[in-house]
Amino acid sequence: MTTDIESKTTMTIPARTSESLWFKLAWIAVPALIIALALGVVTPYWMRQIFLITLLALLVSGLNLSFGWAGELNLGLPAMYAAGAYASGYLYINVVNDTILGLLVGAVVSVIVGVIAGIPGLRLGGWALGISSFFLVLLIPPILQLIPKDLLGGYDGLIGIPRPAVFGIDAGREGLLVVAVLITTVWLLLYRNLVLSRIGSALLILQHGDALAPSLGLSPYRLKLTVYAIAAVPVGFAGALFAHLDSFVGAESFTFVLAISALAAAVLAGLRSIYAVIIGAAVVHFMTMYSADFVQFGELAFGLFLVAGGLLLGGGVSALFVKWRRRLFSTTADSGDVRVVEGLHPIELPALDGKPLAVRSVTKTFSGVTALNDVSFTAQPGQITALIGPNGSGKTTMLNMINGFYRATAGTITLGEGELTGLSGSQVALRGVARTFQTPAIPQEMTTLDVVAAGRIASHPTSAISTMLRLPRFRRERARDERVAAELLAALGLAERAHDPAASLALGTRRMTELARALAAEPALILLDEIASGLDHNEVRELSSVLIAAREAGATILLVEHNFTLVRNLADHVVVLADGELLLEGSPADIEESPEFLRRFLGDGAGVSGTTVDVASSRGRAEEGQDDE
Amino acid sequence: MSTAILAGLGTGSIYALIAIGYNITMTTANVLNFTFANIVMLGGFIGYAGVTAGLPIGVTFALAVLVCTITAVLVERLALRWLPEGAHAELVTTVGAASVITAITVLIWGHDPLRFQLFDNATVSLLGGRANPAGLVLIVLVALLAVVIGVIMKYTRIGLRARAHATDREAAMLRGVDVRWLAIGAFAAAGLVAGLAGPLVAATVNASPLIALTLAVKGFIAMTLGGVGSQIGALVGGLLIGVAEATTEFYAGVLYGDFIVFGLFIAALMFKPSGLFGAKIGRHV
Repeated sequence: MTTDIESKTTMTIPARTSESLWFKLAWIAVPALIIALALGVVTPYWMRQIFLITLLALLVSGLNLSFGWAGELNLGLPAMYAAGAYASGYLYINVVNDTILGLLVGAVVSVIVGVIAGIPGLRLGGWALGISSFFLVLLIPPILQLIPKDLLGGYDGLIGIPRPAVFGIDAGREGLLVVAVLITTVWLLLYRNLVLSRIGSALLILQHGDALAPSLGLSPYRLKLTVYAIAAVPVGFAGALFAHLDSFVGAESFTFVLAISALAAAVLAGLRSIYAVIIGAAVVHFMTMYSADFVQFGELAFGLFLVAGGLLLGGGVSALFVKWRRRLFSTTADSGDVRVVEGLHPIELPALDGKPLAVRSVTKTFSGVTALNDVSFTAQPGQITALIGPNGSGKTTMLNMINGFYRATAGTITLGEGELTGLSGSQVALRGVARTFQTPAIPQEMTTLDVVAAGRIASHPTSAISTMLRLPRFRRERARDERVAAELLAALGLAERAHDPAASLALGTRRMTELARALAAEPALILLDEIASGLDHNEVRELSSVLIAAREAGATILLVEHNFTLVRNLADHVVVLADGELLLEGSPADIEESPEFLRRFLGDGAGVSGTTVDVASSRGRAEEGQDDE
Repeated sequence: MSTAILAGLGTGSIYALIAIGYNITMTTANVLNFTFANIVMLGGFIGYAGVTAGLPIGVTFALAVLVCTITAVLVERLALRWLPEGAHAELVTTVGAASVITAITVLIWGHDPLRFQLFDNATVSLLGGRANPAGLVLIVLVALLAVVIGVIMKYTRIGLRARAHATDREAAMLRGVDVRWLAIGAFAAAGLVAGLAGPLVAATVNASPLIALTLAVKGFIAMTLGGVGSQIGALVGGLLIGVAEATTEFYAGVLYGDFIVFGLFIAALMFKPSGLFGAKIGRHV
């Protein structure tokens, strides 16, 4: 889609804050330093503390991934930890004593337990998931007692785990610590790669409510389950390391208190933090170590901490750091908001493969109330079709039905050769239907560039593995995403906003960003829900020029709109709905002169002289009471 | 067998009680008060303290009601009122508040389960089985609560306001519903219920801080089985898992009780997430 545009647009997008050499060096230097300190300088007591902190950091990063990024609290953490510890402990004693293999086994078993805990509750989310995952923690003691005693040691625990060894070589305490620091480093790198990517964007989109993710073709359940499973990996690693710590694994290590101390560390670090998990883990670990009567006051302290932390939820230590860094290194001054463009500047967009939309005899009833009754119309590629009508006439219902959010009671909707009726929202999006929302749906914490690139996530997928390992396929897709998004931003005059947080932009800019996101998906059909409402004259003109360009590019555009001036200027074809039925269909000029249209929209004799419509008054009327659809 | 069923109805009524408590705040303030089981157990400890101090039973219950109501209102004020938007922050703050309440009971009364009697008879015979009198009173109380709260929510003005608030907070505010007092009222009502039932619960299963968490979880399962928002559903769901658990433990062994409860919960989540009596969950676009 890019070849014809590349030469024409000037690239004014500043480069992303890239991975500098220092950043790469730090990945080697920091773990090396910790290992050197641990082996050369500190006492065995401190080695043990560092080891325990890495374990807790692994647990916290798993919690951050499932709760902070996937948005679902997994209280089953102790169960996954226990599964990893027991499985690897059994391996060390009975099969082969190899810590590397133990890490693998621990991770696999932990993932299995995590997924079992996740599948039933994940669809409902929230407390349903929290409780269903936590129930596994309650089941640890009975399960251990039901498993034959010579297998896992029953309630007494698994005793006699051999000293850590790697490839048959005895590693000792020092070796174990080196393995722990290395595996934590590797995991943090994978975790960072996973969330700083289009998958991370998709997760932020998921947290923006029910409508946005499916409209972009994302299936929340699958994505959440995938991330939920990945989040169990570090927990399994921690379990495998824990099994070596005291050569003993017992049920009393895996309780609710472990879950809340990890949660407290996660809240302290910041729920979407990456590196700060180490700080969170260290602070919570030393709180546990040094408060004299921790057995008594620990739960109280963590509880108070969770209440306070939850109320300030979001940032944690990591947000403080980001704020501090921005203050020190920020160079770009804020140059005001939306640019006002004088006159319609011609915009060129790459060609889009528009397909005709056909709505045939569609009826929709909501428990007895008929919202749409036997409505048929078509929208052609390379045309803007406007869907107008008074509030409550069924415009948005129609849009939501084409979109797959509602299922038609009767009738069919087809796009090109393919039928859309009966498909889910995300399936419809994958057939090439993009949309914008009446209130722009822009997730928090995303730059404008990321928001626009998010239009392409579902249609150009990359696997989690490829993302975590930064394989060539991922790099290729990311480069293309960014190029397409940058080109669109440049074409739409938003280039200098590319790295700004998109959610805090002005309304007009957010509308434009949404439109760019819709275009980034290379859609066959674009649905626009009252895209001009709340915008001033200049913003409407800018938007119009983009819509005209999209029409020239060949897209099928369906515009739900109250503003008849805009419809008259833009639309090639107008469909008028009233009381859920098709009232009229035709060119804007035809519609404007229809006595039926005038009567319905302006009332008998109100503001009509001859054949001209007092557009201002019709607009004013139509904008009263926005919420009835 | 009938002893197992009676025991099941006894524990089941406790699960039902917790589910009813959850429903009170769910249907009025749209918040799951995860601390409810901990507040019930706090009421149980007050009951223990009252009985061992030789207070008249009426005074003991009044004290429990007072302490539990204040605690519940404090939870609303301190842990839920100022939540940030979205992000499931209430999961974190209520789990935190629950830990705080339990930690305080541990500091005052210790970890070990405390046994006490509210009524003179240790056991009574009923339908060929034996039962704890406090347990029997509890079953009657819980059944009454389910019916009375259900009726209040359905047929009174305050019930209507509460449901409006839970459905759409902003719309209710615009219609002149004082949502602040409604939320406080809901938590106070839940605290009152916890205070009334807490001593009875503790007298049947012992006053123990560790039980609260299990009750919180199984109460949630009872609510899910019955259908979120339905008090009759809470009653049926609670008794159902109570009896299923007790009969499984009776026939298969103590270790298997939790598995059957977990199985029922998973089945409900997978096949009937709206529960037996719940309204179908609509989707917002």
